[in-house]
Amino acid sequence: MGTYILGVLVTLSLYSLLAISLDLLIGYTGLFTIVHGALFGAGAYSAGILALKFGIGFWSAAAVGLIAGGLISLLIAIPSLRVSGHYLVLASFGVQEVLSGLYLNLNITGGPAGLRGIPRPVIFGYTIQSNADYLVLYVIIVAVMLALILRLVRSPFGMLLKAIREDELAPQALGKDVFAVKIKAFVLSGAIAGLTGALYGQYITFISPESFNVDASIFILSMVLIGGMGSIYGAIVGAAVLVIIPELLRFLPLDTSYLGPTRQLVYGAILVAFCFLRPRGLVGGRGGAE
Amino acid sequence: MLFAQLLANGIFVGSVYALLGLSFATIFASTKIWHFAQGAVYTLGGYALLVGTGFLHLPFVLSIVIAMVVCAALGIASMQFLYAPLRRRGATSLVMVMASLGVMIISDNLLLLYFGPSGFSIDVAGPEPIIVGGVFLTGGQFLTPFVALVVVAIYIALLFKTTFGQHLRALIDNEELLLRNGIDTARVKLLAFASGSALLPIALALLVMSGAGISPNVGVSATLIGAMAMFLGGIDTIPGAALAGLLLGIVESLAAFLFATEWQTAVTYALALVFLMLRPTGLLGRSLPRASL
Repeated sequence: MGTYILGVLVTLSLYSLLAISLDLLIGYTGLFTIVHGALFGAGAYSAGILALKFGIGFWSAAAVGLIAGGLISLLIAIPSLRVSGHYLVLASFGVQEVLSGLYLNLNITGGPAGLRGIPRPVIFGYTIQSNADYLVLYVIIVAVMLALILRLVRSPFGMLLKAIREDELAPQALGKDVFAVKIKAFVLSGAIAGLTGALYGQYITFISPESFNVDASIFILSMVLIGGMGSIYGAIVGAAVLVIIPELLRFLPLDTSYLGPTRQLVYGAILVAFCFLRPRGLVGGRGGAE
Repeated sequence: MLFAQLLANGIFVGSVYALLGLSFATIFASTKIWHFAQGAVYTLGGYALLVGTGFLHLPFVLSIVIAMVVCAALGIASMQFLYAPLRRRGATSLVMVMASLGVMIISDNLLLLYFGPSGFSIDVAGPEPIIVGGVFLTGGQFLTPFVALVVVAIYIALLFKTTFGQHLRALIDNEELLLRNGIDTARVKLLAFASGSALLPIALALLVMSGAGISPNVGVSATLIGAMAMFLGGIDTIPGAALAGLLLGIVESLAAFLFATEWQTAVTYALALVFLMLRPTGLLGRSLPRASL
């Protein structure tokens, strides 16, 4: 039981970081994309493959994930930011489907079976093994990232992101390069998602395509919406709601084959209910694409 | 020879994509709503066909008509009970997208609980397979382009010849002007949802006749294809989506000529996105859409 709760908390720490990274893009900058699951996967697969083939260590794997997520995000951003927001939705959704398809069909990603036996992190000669170890390590990493991100969103750069969200023309009139700022937001968001993917792979030690498909993207989007867009703490609250509530269903006397769909059903219902009853989310951030 | 076969397959797939594009474009162009729940409507239409012909053994054509009515009703319901109330509450486009996705998740998983995760195929007595000059086509695949052509022609005729069609096309440009002229745009939008959704079972039926199965997760990719076709065709023209859908299918199929099949979708979407980058107005589009999301 204790191990189980610690495990849920490790998952929560990872999803919090994912939700925060997406919130930077969607809540702070007002750019709506449906591709975060695939960026998360890009980090997980690239780090996992290099760890399995070349035995790279924990920190290198994390860096690989960071770079992979950032690069793919950059590839999406450059073409699609030149036109209006609707194109961004389409382009990101398209990239999500392409990457899902590649994770599922390529040899190097292990196809539908995924990658098994990703090495666990070794920190200063100590192998991270138990859920408690993971929780300590990951909470430290997430806390460091959180501190950096909080600093960032309160910096002039963060202000500029919010200004772009509210009205692109105003910062442009002040001589700010709006396009470059959006690209930076994209790369940052993707890089953090990729890093989280690398951490996820080294925790679960087994990754498969369904963790990174369009449903995963929608799941992360839902966290941001439920928490409240444009609020870092909101993203964490949203992640907590969507990680913990479906876990509670495990304790209902349900047949295991019904458990998955029922969880999804509850999550879908929560999502729709929030759209109607509390569209600004629990924390009530002021952000979000209009 | 392989090329001819791939081209024939491409025309088959493209004909279905044309209908999907037309469906998505009708709804999106007139309402500017990212109707992801269309995936759910599509899937439910598939299950309507399954229950009609697979379980109740109704004639296939009758099942299609029933499924069209079901889908049209679901389309109207999406507007009436989902988007319109959200709009009244002042929801942003983003919240509407999320609600739409939520409905899709709920619907897919209800189907999963009720029908189970495995796919179903429906046995339909189609025409005999045809072999022309070494190109093999099942009866359904051979029939599909003709059926699609007729449906698209009728649909576009309705769009250009009827008052409803004119209102619908006018809605793409200027809702304000329609309202000033005392036209009930809410009703036009409902009809757009109904007519767009009613196209889906035709696309499904054509796929089913060629042996495609029905499972709870067929909707997402259909929505993406419809959306892709609409953007490629031009965001402000509905017929463009049908043309773009056809081309999308052909390109996707021909991609297998040069690349391994696992790269097929990736190559197609990459080409589509590059095309949109170079020509954001699409094939037949006139103006750049204003940024609103």
